[in-house]
Amino acid sequence: MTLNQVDISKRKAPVWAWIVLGFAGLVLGVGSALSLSNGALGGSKMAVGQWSSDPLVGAKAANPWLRARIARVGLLALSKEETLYFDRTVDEAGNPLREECRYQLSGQPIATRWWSLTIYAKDQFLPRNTDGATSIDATRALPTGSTNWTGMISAARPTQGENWMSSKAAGDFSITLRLYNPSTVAPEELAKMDFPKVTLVDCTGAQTEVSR
Amino acid sequence: MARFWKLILFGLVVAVFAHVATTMMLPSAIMSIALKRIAQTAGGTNQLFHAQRVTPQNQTIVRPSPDLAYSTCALDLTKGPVRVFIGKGTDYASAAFYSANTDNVTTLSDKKIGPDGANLIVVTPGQNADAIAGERIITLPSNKGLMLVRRLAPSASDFERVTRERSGDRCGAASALQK
Repeated sequence: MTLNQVDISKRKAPVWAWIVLGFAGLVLGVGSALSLSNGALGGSKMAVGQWSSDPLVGAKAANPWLRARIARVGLLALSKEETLYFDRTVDEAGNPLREECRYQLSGQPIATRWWSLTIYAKDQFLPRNTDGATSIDATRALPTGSTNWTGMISAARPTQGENWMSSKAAGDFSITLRLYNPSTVAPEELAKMDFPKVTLVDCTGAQTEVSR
Repeated sequence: MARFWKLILFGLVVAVFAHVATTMMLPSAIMSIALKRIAQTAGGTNQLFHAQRVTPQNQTIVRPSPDLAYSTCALDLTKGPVRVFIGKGTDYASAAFYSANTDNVTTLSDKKIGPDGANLIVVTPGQNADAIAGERIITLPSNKGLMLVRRLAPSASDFERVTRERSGDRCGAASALQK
Protein backbone atom coordinates (compact mmCIF):
# COMPACT_ATOMS: atom_id res chain seq x y z
CA MET A 1 0.00 0.00 0.00
CA THR A 2 2.76 2.41 0.95
CA LEU A 3 4.68 1.46 -2.18
CA ASN A 4 1.63 2.21 -4.38
CA GLN A 5 1.20 5.65 -2.84
CA VAL A 6 4.81 6.51 -3.57
CA ASP A 7 4.40 5.39 -7.15
CA ILE A 8 1.26 7.50 -7.66
CA SER A 9 2.82 10.65 -6.23
CA LYS A 10 5.75 10.37 -8.61
CA ARG A 11 3.58 9.72 -11.64
CA LYS A 12 3.21 12.64 -14.07
CA ALA A 13 -0.23 14.11 -14.74
CA PRO A 14 -1.84 12.55 -17.81
CA VAL A 15 -1.79 14.56 -21.01
CA TRP A 16 -5.57 14.86 -21.06
CA ALA A 17 -5.46 16.67 -17.69
CA TRP A 18 -3.09 19.31 -19.10
CA ILE A 19 -5.30 19.72 -22.16
CA VAL A 20 -8.46 20.07 -20.07
CA LEU A 21 -6.92 22.61 -17.70
CA GLY A 22 -5.34 24.51 -20.59
CA PHE A 23 -8.66 24.67 -22.40
CA ALA A 24 -10.45 25.73 -19.22
CA GLY A 25 -7.89 28.49 -18.71
CA LEU A 26 -8.31 29.60 -22.31
CA VAL A 27 -12.09 29.78 -21.97
CA LEU A 28 -11.79 31.60 -18.63
CA GLY A 29 -9.27 34.11 -19.98
CA VAL A 30 -11.08 34.90 -23.24
CA GLY A 31 -14.48 34.87 -21.53
CA SER A 32 -13.43 37.24 -18.77
CA ALA A 33 -11.87 39.62 -21.31
CA LEU A 34 -15.03 39.66 -23.43
CA SER A 35 -17.23 40.04 -20.36
CA LEU A 36 -15.22 42.95 -18.94
CA SER A 37 -15.03 44.66 -22.32
CA ASN A 38 -18.80 44.43 -22.66
CA GLY A 39 -19.32 46.67 -19.66
CA ALA A 40 -19.36 44.12 -16.85
CA LEU A 41 -16.61 46.06 -15.13
CA GLY A 42 -18.56 49.31 -14.99
CA GLY A 43 -15.80 51.54 -13.76
CA SER A 44 -17.34 54.92 -14.50
CA LYS A 45 -15.28 57.71 -13.00
CA MET A 46 -17.68 60.62 -13.25
CA ALA A 47 -21.36 60.77 -12.25
CA VAL A 48 -24.01 63.46 -12.54
CA GLY A 49 -27.14 62.13 -10.86
CA GLN A 50 -27.82 58.77 -12.49
CA TRP A 51 -25.74 59.71 -15.53
CA SER A 52 -22.22 58.36 -15.64
CA SER A 53 -19.25 58.88 -17.90
CA ASP A 54 -15.71 57.67 -18.12
CA PRO A 55 -13.49 60.69 -18.79
CA LEU A 56 -10.91 58.45 -20.41
CA VAL A 57 -13.23 57.63 -23.31
CA GLY A 58 -11.55 58.76 -26.49
CA ALA A 59 -8.28 59.46 -24.70
CA LYS A 60 -5.07 58.06 -26.12
CA ALA A 61 -3.93 57.16 -22.60
CA ALA A 62 -6.92 54.87 -22.03
CA ASN A 63 -5.73 51.58 -20.55
CA PRO A 64 -6.10 48.34 -22.58
CA TRP A 65 -9.21 47.25 -20.66
CA LEU A 66 -10.99 50.56 -21.17
CA ARG A 67 -9.89 50.69 -24.80
CA ALA A 68 -11.31 47.18 -25.32
CA ARG A 69 -14.56 48.21 -23.64
CA ILE A 70 -14.86 51.33 -25.79
CA ALA A 71 -14.18 49.30 -28.92
CA ARG A 72 -17.12 47.05 -28.06
CA VAL A 73 -19.66 49.52 -26.69
CA GLY A 74 -18.58 52.90 -28.04
CA LEU A 75 -16.33 52.48 -31.03
CA LEU A 76 -15.06 55.71 -32.61
CA ALA A 77 -15.82 57.95 -29.64
CA LEU A 78 -14.45 61.49 -29.63
CA SER A 79 -12.16 62.96 -26.99
CA LYS A 80 -13.84 64.68 -24.03
CA GLU A 81 -12.83 68.14 -25.23
CA GLU A 82 -14.91 67.54 -28.35
CA THR A 83 -17.73 65.47 -26.89
CA LEU A 84 -18.73 64.14 -23.49
CA TYR A 85 -20.75 60.93 -23.43
CA PHE A 86 -22.96 60.19 -20.43
CA ASP A 87 -24.93 56.96 -20.15
CA ARG A 88 -27.62 55.69 -17.86
CA THR A 89 -29.44 52.38 -17.53
CA VAL A 90 -31.65 53.30 -14.58
CA ASP A 91 -34.43 55.76 -13.77
CA GLU A 92 -34.26 58.43 -11.06
CA ALA A 93 -35.06 55.80 -8.41
CA GLY A 94 -32.24 53.56 -9.59
CA ASN A 95 -34.44 50.91 -11.22
CA PRO A 96 -33.45 49.46 -14.63
CA LEU A 97 -34.98 51.12 -17.69
CA ARG A 98 -37.42 48.68 -19.30
CA GLU A 99 -39.43 48.56 -22.49
CA GLU A 100 -42.60 47.70 -20.51
CA CYS A 101 -42.51 51.01 -18.66
CA ARG A 102 -43.24 54.63 -19.48
CA TYR A 103 -40.84 57.34 -18.34
CA GLN A 104 -41.25 61.07 -18.05
CA LEU A 105 -38.32 63.12 -19.35
CA SER A 106 -37.60 66.62 -18.15
CA GLY A 107 -34.72 68.97 -18.67
CA GLN A 108 -33.29 72.44 -18.93
CA PRO A 109 -30.68 74.07 -21.16
CA ILE A 110 -27.20 72.58 -20.74
CA ALA A 111 -24.03 74.63 -21.06
CA THR A 112 -22.85 73.01 -24.26
CA ARG A 113 -22.95 73.86 -27.95
CA TRP A 114 -25.40 71.07 -28.68
CA TRP A 115 -26.77 68.04 -26.84
CA SER A 116 -28.77 64.97 -27.70
CA LEU A 117 -30.40 62.00 -25.99
CA THR A 118 -30.41 58.65 -27.79
CA ILE A 119 -31.98 55.36 -26.77
CA TYR A 120 -30.08 52.09 -27.25
CA ALA A 121 -31.16 48.48 -26.82
CA LYS A 122 -29.06 46.09 -24.77
CA ASP A 123 -27.02 45.11 -27.86
CA GLN A 124 -25.84 48.77 -28.08
CA PHE A 125 -27.77 49.42 -31.30
CA LEU A 126 -30.82 51.63 -31.81
CA PRO A 127 -34.01 49.68 -30.94
CA ARG A 128 -35.15 47.91 -34.08
CA ASN A 129 -38.51 49.54 -34.63
CA THR A 130 -39.95 51.80 -37.31
CA ASP A 131 -41.29 54.57 -35.04
CA GLY A 132 -38.65 57.06 -36.16
CA ALA A 133 -38.17 58.20 -32.56
CA THR A 134 -34.73 57.20 -31.37
CA SER A 135 -33.50 60.56 -30.11
CA ILE A 136 -34.32 64.00 -28.76
CA ASP A 137 -31.92 66.86 -29.30
CA ALA A 138 -31.49 70.43 -28.16
CA THR A 139 -32.80 71.97 -31.39
CA ARG A 140 -36.14 70.13 -31.12
CA ALA A 141 -36.55 70.03 -27.32
CA LEU A 142 -35.57 73.61 -26.70
CA PRO A 143 -36.63 75.95 -29.51
CA THR A 144 -35.18 79.45 -29.15
CA GLY A 145 -36.41 81.08 -25.98
CA SER A 146 -37.43 77.90 -24.17
CA THR A 147 -36.14 77.41 -20.66
CA ASN A 148 -37.24 73.84 -19.98
CA TRP A 149 -38.66 70.84 -21.76
CA THR A 150 -40.48 67.59 -21.09
CA GLY A 151 -40.76 64.36 -23.05
CA MET A 152 -41.65 60.70 -22.83
CA ILE A 153 -40.05 57.30 -23.31
CA SER A 154 -42.58 54.56 -24.05
CA ALA A 155 -43.20 51.68 -26.41
CA ALA A 156 -46.34 53.33 -27.80
CA ARG A 157 -46.55 56.85 -29.20
CA PRO A 158 -48.00 59.20 -26.58
CA THR A 159 -51.21 61.04 -27.45
CA GLN A 160 -49.57 64.42 -26.98
CA GLY A 161 -46.11 65.92 -26.90
CA GLU A 162 -43.46 65.77 -29.62
CA ASN A 163 -40.43 64.90 -27.52
CA TRP A 164 -40.76 61.13 -27.59
CA MET A 165 -38.27 58.26 -27.72
CA SER A 166 -39.72 54.88 -28.59
CA SER A 167 -38.65 51.95 -26.42
CA LYS A 168 -40.47 49.46 -28.66
CA ALA A 169 -38.25 46.38 -29.16
CA ALA A 170 -35.63 47.91 -26.83
CA GLY A 171 -35.92 45.40 -23.96
CA ASP A 172 -33.79 46.62 -21.06
CA PHE A 173 -32.36 49.76 -22.57
CA SER A 174 -29.89 52.57 -21.96
CA ILE A 175 -29.83 56.25 -22.84
CA THR A 176 -26.80 58.23 -23.96
CA LEU A 177 -26.47 61.97 -23.44
CA ARG A 178 -24.00 63.59 -25.83
CA LEU A 179 -22.59 67.01 -25.06
CA TYR A 180 -20.82 68.52 -28.07
CA ASN A 181 -18.23 71.19 -27.28
CA PRO A 182 -19.22 71.38 -23.60
CA SER A 183 -18.46 74.61 -21.76
CA THR A 184 -16.42 72.61 -19.26
CA VAL A 185 -15.05 69.11 -18.82
CA ALA A 186 -14.21 69.58 -15.14
CA PRO A 187 -16.10 66.93 -13.12
CA GLU A 188 -16.88 69.36 -10.28
CA GLU A 189 -18.44 71.83 -12.75
CA LEU A 190 -20.34 69.14 -14.63
CA ALA A 191 -21.75 67.86 -11.33
CA LYS A 192 -23.50 71.22 -10.87
CA MET A 193 -25.31 70.99 -14.21
CA ASP A 194 -28.96 69.96 -14.54
CA PHE A 195 -28.92 66.93 -16.79
CA PRO A 196 -32.24 65.50 -18.05
CA LYS A 197 -34.25 63.50 -15.52
CA VAL A 198 -35.87 60.14 -16.32
CA THR A 199 -38.77 59.43 -13.98
CA LEU A 200 -40.86 56.26 -13.99
CA VAL A 201 -44.55 56.84 -14.77
CA ASP A 202 -45.93 53.29 -14.85
CA CYS A 203 -45.34 49.81 -16.18
CA THR A 204 -47.50 47.25 -17.96
CA GLY A 205 -47.31 43.52 -18.73
CA ALA A 206 -46.07 40.60 -16.68
CA GLN A 207 -43.57 42.66 -14.72
CA THR A 208 -46.04 45.33 -13.65
CA GLU A 209 -44.90 47.61 -10.89
CA VAL A 210 -46.89 50.02 -8.83
CA SER A 211 -46.87 53.48 -10.34
CA ARG A 212 -44.98 56.04 -8.36
CA MET B 1 -0.82 16.84 -4.39
CA ALA B 2 1.94 18.87 -6.07
CA ARG B 3 0.74 17.47 -9.38
CA PHE B 4 -2.73 18.93 -8.70
CA TRP B 5 -1.38 22.40 -7.95
CA LYS B 6 0.85 22.31 -11.02
CA LEU B 7 -2.22 21.69 -13.16
CA ILE B 8 -4.16 24.50 -11.47
CA LEU B 9 -1.23 26.87 -11.89
CA PHE B 10 -0.95 25.93 -15.54
CA GLY B 11 -4.67 26.65 -16.05
CA LEU B 12 -4.35 30.02 -14.34
CA VAL B 13 -1.31 31.02 -16.39
CA VAL B 14 -3.16 30.14 -19.59
CA ALA B 15 -6.20 32.14 -18.35
CA VAL B 16 -4.13 35.24 -17.58
CA PHE B 17 -2.31 35.03 -20.90
CA ALA B 18 -5.57 34.55 -22.81
CA HIS B 19 -7.23 37.41 -20.92
CA VAL B 20 -4.42 39.89 -21.59
CA ALA B 21 -3.98 38.80 -25.22
CA THR B 22 -7.71 39.07 -25.92
CA THR B 23 -7.95 42.46 -24.24
CA MET B 24 -4.96 43.81 -26.16
CA MET B 25 -6.07 42.46 -29.53
CA LEU B 26 -9.77 43.23 -29.27
CA PRO B 27 -9.69 46.93 -30.32
CA SER B 28 -7.49 46.29 -33.35
CA ALA B 29 -9.58 43.27 -34.36
CA ILE B 30 -12.84 45.21 -34.09
CA MET B 31 -11.33 48.20 -35.91
CA SER B 32 -10.02 45.92 -38.65
CA ILE B 33 -13.50 44.52 -39.22
CA ALA B 34 -15.03 48.01 -39.16
CA LEU B 35 -12.45 49.33 -41.64
CA LYS B 36 -13.05 46.40 -43.97
CA ARG B 37 -16.82 46.99 -43.93
CA ILE B 38 -16.43 50.74 -44.41
CA ALA B 39 -14.02 50.25 -47.31
CA GLN B 40 -16.34 47.73 -48.94
CA THR B 41 -19.26 50.13 -48.64
CA ALA B 42 -17.22 52.99 -50.10
CA GLY B 43 -15.83 50.90 -52.95
CA GLY B 44 -12.31 50.71 -51.54
CA THR B 45 -9.88 52.38 -49.16
CA ASN B 46 -9.15 56.11 -49.38
CA GLN B 47 -12.65 56.67 -50.74
CA LEU B 48 -15.07 59.07 -49.09
CA PHE B 49 -18.51 57.66 -48.37
CA HIS B 50 -21.47 59.76 -47.27
CA ALA B 51 -23.82 57.61 -45.20
CA GLN B 52 -27.58 57.96 -45.30
CA ARG B 53 -29.48 59.15 -42.23
CA VAL B 54 -28.97 56.57 -39.49
CA THR B 55 -32.04 54.47 -38.78
CA PRO B 56 -32.54 51.25 -36.82
CA GLN B 57 -32.71 49.48 -40.17
CA ASN B 58 -29.40 50.67 -41.66
CA GLN B 59 -27.14 51.02 -38.59
CA THR B 60 -23.82 49.18 -38.88
CA ILE B 61 -21.72 50.45 -35.94
CA VAL B 62 -22.70 50.37 -32.27
CA ARG B 63 -24.25 53.46 -30.68
CA PRO B 64 -24.73 55.62 -33.77
CA SER B 65 -26.29 59.05 -33.36
CA PRO B 66 -29.35 59.52 -35.59
CA ASP B 67 -28.85 63.29 -35.31
CA LEU B 68 -25.55 63.30 -37.16
CA ALA B 69 -24.69 62.89 -40.83
CA TYR B 70 -21.65 60.62 -41.02
CA SER B 71 -19.04 60.47 -43.75
CA THR B 72 -16.22 57.94 -43.65
CA CYS B 73 -12.92 57.28 -45.35
CA ALA B 74 -11.04 54.07 -44.52
CA LEU B 75 -7.44 55.19 -44.68
CA ASP B 76 -4.67 53.05 -46.14
CA LEU B 77 -1.33 54.82 -46.10
CA THR B 78 0.81 51.87 -47.19
CA LYS B 79 1.21 53.34 -50.68
CA GLY B 80 1.58 56.94 -49.60
CA PRO B 81 -0.17 59.91 -47.98
CA VAL B 82 -3.84 60.65 -48.35
CA ARG B 83 -5.22 64.07 -49.17
CA VAL B 84 -8.45 65.32 -47.57
CA PHE B 85 -10.72 68.34 -48.05
CA ILE B 86 -13.51 69.20 -45.60
CA GLY B 87 -15.85 72.02 -46.52
CA LYS B 88 -17.22 74.57 -44.07
CA GLY B 89 -20.81 73.94 -42.99
CA THR B 90 -23.39 76.15 -41.33
CA ASP B 91 -23.53 74.07 -38.15
CA TYR B 92 -21.40 71.71 -36.07
CA ALA B 93 -18.98 69.52 -38.00
CA SER B 94 -15.83 67.62 -37.12
CA ALA B 95 -13.37 65.33 -38.83
CA ALA B 96 -11.96 62.75 -36.42
CA PHE B 97 -8.95 60.60 -37.26
CA TYR B 98 -8.55 57.17 -35.66
CA SER B 99 -5.58 54.84 -35.72
CA ALA B 100 -5.81 51.08 -36.22
CA ASN B 101 -6.07 50.49 -32.47
CA THR B 102 -9.12 52.86 -32.22
CA ASP B 103 -7.21 55.80 -30.68
CA ASN B 104 -8.72 59.16 -31.59
CA VAL B 105 -5.45 60.65 -32.88
CA THR B 106 -6.85 64.09 -33.56
CA THR B 107 -10.11 65.86 -34.33
CA LEU B 108 -10.53 68.86 -36.56
CA SER B 109 -13.54 70.79 -35.27
CA ASP B 110 -15.46 73.16 -37.50
CA LYS B 111 -14.17 76.02 -35.37
CA LYS B 112 -10.80 75.34 -37.00
CA ILE B 113 -12.23 75.10 -40.48
CA GLY B 114 -12.04 78.37 -42.35
CA PRO B 115 -14.72 79.69 -44.69
CA ASP B 116 -12.93 78.06 -47.62
CA GLY B 117 -12.76 74.67 -45.89
CA ALA B 118 -9.76 72.71 -44.62
CA ASN B 119 -7.09 70.99 -46.69
CA LEU B 120 -5.32 68.13 -44.92
CA ILE B 121 -2.72 65.55 -45.77
CA VAL B 122 -2.60 62.32 -43.74
CA VAL B 123 0.76 60.59 -43.35
CA THR B 124 2.56 58.02 -41.22
CA PRO B 125 5.62 59.15 -39.20
CA GLY B 126 8.01 57.84 -41.86
CA GLN B 127 6.35 59.43 -44.86
CA ASN B 128 7.29 62.65 -46.59
CA ALA B 129 4.19 64.83 -46.26
CA ASP B 130 5.11 67.07 -49.20
CA ALA B 131 2.35 69.38 -48.02
CA ILE B 132 1.10 72.17 -50.21
CA ALA B 133 0.89 75.67 -48.75
CA GLY B 134 -2.04 75.92 -46.34
CA GLU B 135 -2.35 72.16 -45.99
CA ARG B 136 -2.41 70.75 -42.46
CA ILE B 137 -0.49 67.57 -41.73
CA ILE B 138 -2.23 64.76 -39.81
CA THR B 139 0.16 62.02 -38.64
CA LEU B 140 -1.32 58.59 -37.98
CA PRO B 141 0.81 56.16 -35.94
CA SER B 142 -0.37 53.26 -38.13
CA ASN B 143 -0.69 52.53 -41.86
CA LYS B 144 -4.41 51.89 -41.49
CA GLY B 145 -6.95 54.16 -39.89
CA LEU B 146 -10.20 55.97 -40.32
CA MET B 147 -11.47 59.47 -40.92
CA LEU B 148 -14.98 59.97 -39.58
CA VAL B 149 -16.74 63.23 -40.39
CA ARG B 150 -19.74 64.22 -38.29
CA ARG B 151 -22.11 66.97 -39.33
CA LEU B 152 -25.06 68.01 -37.21
CA ALA B 153 -28.33 67.09 -38.97
CA PRO B 154 -31.14 66.44 -36.48
CA SER B 155 -33.97 66.84 -39.01
CA ALA B 156 -34.67 65.75 -42.56
CA SER B 157 -34.27 69.32 -43.82
CA ASP B 158 -30.95 69.64 -41.95
CA PHE B 159 -29.80 66.42 -43.56
CA GLU B 160 -30.66 67.76 -47.03
CA ARG B 161 -28.62 70.88 -46.30
CA VAL B 162 -25.69 68.83 -45.07
CA THR B 163 -25.88 66.64 -48.16
CA ARG B 164 -25.25 69.76 -50.24
CA GLU B 165 -22.54 71.06 -47.90
CA ARG B 166 -20.54 67.85 -47.89
CA SER B 167 -20.77 67.23 -51.62
CA GLY B 168 -17.44 69.00 -52.06
CA ASP B 169 -15.58 66.97 -49.43
CA ARG B 170 -12.73 64.82 -50.74
CA CYS B 171 -10.53 61.93 -49.56
CA GLY B 172 -8.06 60.15 -51.80
CA ALA B 173 -4.49 59.09 -52.43
CA ALA B 174 -2.28 62.20 -52.48
CA SER B 175 -0.72 61.06 -55.74
CA ALA B 176 -4.12 61.08 -57.43
CA LEU B 177 -5.86 63.91 -55.62
CA GLN B 178 -4.19 67.28 -55.85
CA LYS B 179 -5.29 70.19 -53.75
